[in-house]
Amino acid sequence: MIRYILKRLLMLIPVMIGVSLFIFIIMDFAPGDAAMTALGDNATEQQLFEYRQERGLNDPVFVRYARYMLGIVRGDLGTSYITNRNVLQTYLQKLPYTLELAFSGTLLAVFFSIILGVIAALRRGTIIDSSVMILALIGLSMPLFWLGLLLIICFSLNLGLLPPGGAEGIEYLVLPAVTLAVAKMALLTRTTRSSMLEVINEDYIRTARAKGVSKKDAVRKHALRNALIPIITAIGIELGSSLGGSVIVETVFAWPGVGRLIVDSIGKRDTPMVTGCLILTTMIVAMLLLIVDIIYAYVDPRIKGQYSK
Amino acid sequence: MDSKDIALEVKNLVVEYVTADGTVHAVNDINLTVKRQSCMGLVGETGAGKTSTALAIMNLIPSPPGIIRRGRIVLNGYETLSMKDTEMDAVRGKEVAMIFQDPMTALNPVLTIGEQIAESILMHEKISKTEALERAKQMLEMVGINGNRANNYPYQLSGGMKQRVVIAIALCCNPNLLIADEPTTALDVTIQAQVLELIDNLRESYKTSMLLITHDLGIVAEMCDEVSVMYAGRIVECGTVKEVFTDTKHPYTEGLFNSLPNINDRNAQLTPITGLVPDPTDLPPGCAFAPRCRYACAECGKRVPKDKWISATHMVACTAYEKPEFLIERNKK
Repeated sequence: MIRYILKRLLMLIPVMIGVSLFIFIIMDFAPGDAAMTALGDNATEQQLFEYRQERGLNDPVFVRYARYMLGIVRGDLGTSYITNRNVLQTYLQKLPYTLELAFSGTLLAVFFSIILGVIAALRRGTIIDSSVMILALIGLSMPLFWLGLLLIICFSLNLGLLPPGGAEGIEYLVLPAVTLAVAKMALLTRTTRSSMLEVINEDYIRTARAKGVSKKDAVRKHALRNALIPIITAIGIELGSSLGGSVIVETVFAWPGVGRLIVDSIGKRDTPMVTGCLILTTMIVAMLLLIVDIIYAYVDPRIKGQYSK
Repeated sequence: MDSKDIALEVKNLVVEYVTADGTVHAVNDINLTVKRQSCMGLVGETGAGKTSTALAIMNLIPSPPGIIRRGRIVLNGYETLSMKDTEMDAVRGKEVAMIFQDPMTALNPVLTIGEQIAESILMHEKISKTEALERAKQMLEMVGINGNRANNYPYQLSGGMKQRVVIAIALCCNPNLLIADEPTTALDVTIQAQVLELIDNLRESYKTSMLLITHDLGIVAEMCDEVSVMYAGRIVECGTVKEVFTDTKHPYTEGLFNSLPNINDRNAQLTPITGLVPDPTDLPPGCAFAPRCRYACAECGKRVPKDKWISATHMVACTAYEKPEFLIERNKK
């Protein structure tokens, strides 16, 4: 098991190199650069040249990449071309907001979608099942920014119950988390339902019932745990996707998270900031996926058996 | 017969599966009696309704689409079909237990085998979890598995061992009636005999009555006291093993025997029953076997044959026996 974890951690190194190289090259292809963004339209060629010279922007892309990677080896993620602030510090300042939103949104979604998915599976083919599936479909197809705006109109403007944006306390978290959860619930509910349906007709459920286990306990003790692997995978994917920041939700609710930081930095051609943020996000997501894989082993002993080989 | 001597009585049972493609008539008005401490064999081809009968006795017909239309099932004095869910949960595992066909899928892959046996004990007896696990170990020893493998998961066991665990689960609460649904079909031939012997020995020592479902007449001859032959959801012949094997009456039973290879005459051709089992959504009117029967006459297609009792224990449901002189080929010598 420990060997497996170490192997997975080592595999992160080539992934990091790949991700950073890719971003560097993409950013280089993009039209415009940091100097033009920082100095504006009125800057002279001379000013632009000096700005670039100062930050090494006149060097070829691979030279800049090599310099950047040398910095990373020393633990230095560089400084922003635009604000001159340390990338790591800026990221760490935004990260708690993203974590808060991602975890609360996902937890909310997990709670409701497991309940709804199990009920839909057990009442398969009934009106309850169809209603749950239609709700999931609506959640999946509804544009997030629109849902966010609707919630703001309803709960902030009309009812005045919750603040429409910002991040100054727990009440500021409610609307963005709910918006994010609705989007996540769609996939999670569908996954739970189909996974449950597959398991509920398995022979071992019948064996359990034949022992005298009640219908409810057969679902709770026998079916759910077996249905959990695909559900955990889906939870991991959903959580991972919002750890990179949920740009739309963050924008609608003026939430100061990582997603907006990255998108802003891309607009400003701030390569060190973009690369740094994405490397850190990749690391966090990779860790998360590793944790998901470790959880598998505890849910399903067969997987644990494979890891120790 | 005194009701105390009866472990299981099935009366006029009808089981149907209602699907979009039509109603599957799985079990059509069958009667079945298992005497206490005896073994009844239930024989028939795939699709004859054997497993549906067993699941109906367990009151575990998957619903929807399954439905028990009619009938009475009396299990050691309990009318199971009119019981509430919670009452039935108390009967399952305690009064009646079942061994399933495929041990590969019958065990929960994420629980240890010890836990799975102990769960059954905990369901029906007021003992602590530690005691139940201890009992589970004893049960494992009883079915020939080392007790310290109780912490193993099903994937760590072979097919034969898994079936032993399934047997341990079924017998751990000492049920009155054991239903074994083709317990050896999924196993290697070399393991089959071992598992059958194990079931037989445990049944003797626990004084359990048994309903053994199989399509293997050899197993019936070896294990059973009585046998019922099932075809298209009906019982066409029943009697003691001796009666049915030596004084076969029904043409279908004869066909089953003729399909067996004869070890004394290795050159003899097998004579299979021609045709296929009828579509259970569209059973022929009258005798369901008539389209495949070599003795069929016009009368057979018109009405369902009545049960004819040849002795107190031997019954045949065949219209041809309304003529007193009728004999099947097997009995002509």
